[in-house]
Amino acid sequence: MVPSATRSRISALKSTSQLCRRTPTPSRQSGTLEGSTFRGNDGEPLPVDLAVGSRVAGLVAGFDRDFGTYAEQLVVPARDTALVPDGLDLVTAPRSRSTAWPQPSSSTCSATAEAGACW
Amino acid sequence: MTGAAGAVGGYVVPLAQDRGWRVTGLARAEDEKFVRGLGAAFTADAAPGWDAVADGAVLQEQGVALVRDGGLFVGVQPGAAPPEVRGVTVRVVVAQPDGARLAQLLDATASGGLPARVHAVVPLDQVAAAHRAVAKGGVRGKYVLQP
Repeated sequence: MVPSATRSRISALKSTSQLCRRTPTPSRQSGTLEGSTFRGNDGEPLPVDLAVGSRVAGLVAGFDRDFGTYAEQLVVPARDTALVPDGLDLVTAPRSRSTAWPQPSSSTCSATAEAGACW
Repeated sequence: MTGAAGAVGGYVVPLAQDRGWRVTGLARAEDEKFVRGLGAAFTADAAPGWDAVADGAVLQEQGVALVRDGGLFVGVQPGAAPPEVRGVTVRVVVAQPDGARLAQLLDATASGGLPARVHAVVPLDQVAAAHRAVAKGGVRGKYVLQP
């Protein structure tokens, strides 16, 4: 796992209501949630500046890779993501838009997305 | 800006103007309203003599031919830079992840400074048709696949 990374689940099969939930997928978590701050098993806040449920966008660059627009899940560095402004919906910000939650064991966070873009 | 009405062109035109460039967009006549709406001049005539050409239309050598002697050509196909001729400098850009810059671009999109062009939102089972339409050409904006 890449340190300080965001795991983005880029799926065209997720509904908006599923995406906006603030509850992480239990099978992928081992820490606890306190409000929107995720804490690891040691109780310390994780070094990810994304609140659970944040709408984020990111770019996965390059061409020589074995995943693309239709990947269901991606891991990208957290520094490569940005919050989607409230005034921008997730259809008009279609590049890897997703919602996020932290991953406790590796300073990462996960996200699901509602749609993919056809390039 | 070649392909000024395309996805790359639609972003480059306002961003270049932000950096002080006086921009003319090259596109089909039916795209004139959109290009001018970005604040650029418009031409449908690929005539030479430009200080710099950003080649969103991937004209490559034909795009270089539009640059004046000693000018600048900026391509968008990494690994496929056209040869430098007549003193024209050739550069090729490729997108790199940059969260801070991405945040700025998202803000610019939210405020209307950058165009966000969605051609259509279609369900996943129409993905094949969407690909065929994109391959055919003439699509303005992006297909978004949604359940």
